[in-house]
Amino acid sequence: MSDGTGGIFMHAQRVSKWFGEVIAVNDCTLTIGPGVTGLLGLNGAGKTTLFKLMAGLITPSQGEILVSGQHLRRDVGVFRRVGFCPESDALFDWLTGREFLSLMLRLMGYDGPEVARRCERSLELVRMSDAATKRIGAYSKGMRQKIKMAQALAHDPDIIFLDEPLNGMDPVSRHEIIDLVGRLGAEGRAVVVSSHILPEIETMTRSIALIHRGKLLAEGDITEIRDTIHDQPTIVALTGPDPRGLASFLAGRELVKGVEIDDLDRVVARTDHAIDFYRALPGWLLQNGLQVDEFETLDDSLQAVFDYLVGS
Amino acid sequence: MHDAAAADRPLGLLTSSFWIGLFSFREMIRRKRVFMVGLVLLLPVALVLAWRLLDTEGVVPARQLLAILSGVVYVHFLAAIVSLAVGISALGEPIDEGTIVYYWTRPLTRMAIYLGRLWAAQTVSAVLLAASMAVCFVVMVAGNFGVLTLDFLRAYLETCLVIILGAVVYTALFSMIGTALRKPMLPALIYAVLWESIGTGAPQKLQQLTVVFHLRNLIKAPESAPMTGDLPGMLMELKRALLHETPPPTWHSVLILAGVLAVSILLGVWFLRRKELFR
Repeated sequence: MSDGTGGIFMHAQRVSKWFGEVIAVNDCTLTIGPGVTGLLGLNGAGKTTLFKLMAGLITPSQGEILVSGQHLRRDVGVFRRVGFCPESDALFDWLTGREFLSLMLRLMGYDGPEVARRCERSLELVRMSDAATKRIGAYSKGMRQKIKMAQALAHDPDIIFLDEPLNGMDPVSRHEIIDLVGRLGAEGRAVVVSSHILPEIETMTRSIALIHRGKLLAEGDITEIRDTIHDQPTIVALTGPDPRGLASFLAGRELVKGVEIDDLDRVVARTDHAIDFYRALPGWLLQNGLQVDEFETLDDSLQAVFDYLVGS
Repeated sequence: MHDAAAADRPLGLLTSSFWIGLFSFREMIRRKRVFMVGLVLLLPVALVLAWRLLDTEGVVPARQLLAILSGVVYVHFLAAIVSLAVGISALGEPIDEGTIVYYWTRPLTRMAIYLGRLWAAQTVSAVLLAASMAVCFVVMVAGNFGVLTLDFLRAYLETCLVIILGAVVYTALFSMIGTALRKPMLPALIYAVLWESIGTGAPQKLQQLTVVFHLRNLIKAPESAPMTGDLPGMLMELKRALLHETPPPTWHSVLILAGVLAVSILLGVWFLRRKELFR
């Protein structure tokens, strides 16, 4: 895959958007590379506005956004490499799924046989082949989401924007789409997924951009972001045959802020530098003959990170 | 996957506007509003039918009825109303509904999108008006072949062409208004009903600022045969005689209408380029 910009598919530089007195997006700088990136935020946080800015549907009041090094709104040809699945449910209800995809592919510049081939492939991709001859007006909410996904993927784009793609989907469809998003990311495409449902995002990616009240609060890997929240130490639980020995050893380490043994006989350590702690832990254990059977971080879930940053 | 940059050109204007136009035409003829307009267009058919049933003595000749239809019903009223109903939603509706996003996220210039939608709307307006005129014609001449003179046929075709031209110009005008304003219906109605219906008593200079004046100027019947029963035409003729006004030449009106069409399209594209999608 070649994006022509050294692995940066999309870059937003100090972007703001206001509508009258209301600031929807406030001075956001964001870089999107290959893989899946989750755009997170509460309802009304500014996700959809940022999404529309990224996809060139609205212009920034300030700052600039480059997709593949170009201004999407001005250089519309770049849309050949961009797929966009809108949150809005508006569709051409009188068309069948196949007719809709054919039109979308025609407007991408493909001709007859290529339109037919890509149409079938994208229908299979979202498992909609059986419903392809039905009118979109008769589709369920989940099927409508899938056909919107199909049109975003039919032309094989490098950069894919999916705005709340799992809305209204049944559990099986959710699983299929999460799987598909993961595959697209693994192929090296840049997939930006917005959602206000944190567990959904967490199943797709560890890379997030968190927006709150129009401001970009954090961007990057969830664990790395968690590590930067120094006022809330990371809590790590370790299970081993000698919890007391392990606890007294950890208590003397500089990286460890506090240690206790919980009701489950686990050693619970608090650290301000979780990543350094994880790096150092194997060495400590080997050098001191300590044994740990299992360990888990109790609060680096997306929910915990979100709560710490946004304030639950 | 594509090679970057090289293929990043928008689709050709003609190809893309053709596909958009073709699709939009199919979409527009399904709209309920178009069905309602179709019903309104049955009014002149009912008028002609009444003429056939009631005027057995031939008090109103077919030529005179045609003048009434063209001068009063179609040019003065239906061309603007039909074009308003179709044109105002050509771009406004997909923007309001949010379906415009499927055009905006393709390699299509705003000009291609605008022209494709406009072409479709103009075709719908023109087809509706022409179909209504055709049905009127059939009702007028069926079993009444005496009215089929060369002069009558030529006048009928000329009237049809002028009405189609009116549909094209008015639809462009209303599409532009529909693109520019978020709530375009009231201003468009005010324009169509109040401004375009400036009475024939108004000074000719003022009348020349309306589309309807130039459309009427292209229809020869009221001028060449002032006593054909077209009341606005007769009044205009009378006023011209009293005030020594001379109508502008035909080419002048054609130029004005072409200018209105071109300016409406350019402004419409300009508004669409600045449009943002909030839904």
